[in-house]
Amino acid sequence: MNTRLRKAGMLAALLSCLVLCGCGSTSEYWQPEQQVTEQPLQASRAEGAVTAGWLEVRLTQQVLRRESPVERLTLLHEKLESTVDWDGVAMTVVYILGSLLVLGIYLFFAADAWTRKDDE
Amino acid sequence: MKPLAVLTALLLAGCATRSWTETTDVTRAAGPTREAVVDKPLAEHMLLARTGQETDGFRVDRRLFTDDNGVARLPLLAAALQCLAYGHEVRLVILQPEGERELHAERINAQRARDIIEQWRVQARLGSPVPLRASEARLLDRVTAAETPEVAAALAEIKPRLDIRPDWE
Repeated sequence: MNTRLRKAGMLAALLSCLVLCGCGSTSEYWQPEQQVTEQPLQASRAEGAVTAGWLEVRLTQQVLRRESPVERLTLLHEKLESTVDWDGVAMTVVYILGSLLVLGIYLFFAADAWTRKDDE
Repeated sequence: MKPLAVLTALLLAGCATRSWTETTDVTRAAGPTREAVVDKPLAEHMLLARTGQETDGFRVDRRLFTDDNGVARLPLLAAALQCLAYGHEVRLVILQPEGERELHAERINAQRARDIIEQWRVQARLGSPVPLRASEARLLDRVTAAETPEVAAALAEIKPRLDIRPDWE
């Protein structure tokens, strides 16, 4: 009974995990913003002023400015996804195998050294 | 069952939430539109500053750029030196590059040129660099030799503070 329960639980966990990975939602909201348009009414003009040996020229243009408060439709996407990829899994496996190999070589030579020492 | 457990653990460990916003072109009005006529400063615009050309080809010819407030600044010392060196009134014009439309003009006569040199003497005394181009700076010696002792003394104070800029700048 325990084994069956455990198997069923594992299967349910795996299924829920797969379902979770495919989950996502999109919500809409209205973002307030200011729309500004400018329409030139005249050609640009300059005003000059002399201060401390400098000529300062201020360039301006008369424009008709229209400011319209609007709300923009914005979509908020939320998604749950798996970041595990096969490259990462393979790298982990290679790392573990490599570590075991290095440790094995070390133990092999250490045992050989100890055996020689005992013989002497 | 063990492989299943390992796979589940791996998937769970790698689960991550990601959220991002996407703006659309759909808008709706949220209030009344306001209209106003305003004087808008024109930032990052190029202007040309020029004086009349002399017989030897000398002229003040600079490009100016407006800042965020629409203001461009030009030192008047070069035009003042031209006025005194060539002995006639100088007309400095500010032009718009497109079509060379005249936007502003300054007339600099001998008296005004001496006032400008006096103002630059004060600036030099306060430690400000005096920006001139090489061709404009050459007029300094010419004016120093030809002008009154007061103007010559002012130019002598200005000379060590010269910041010579290349002609192409």
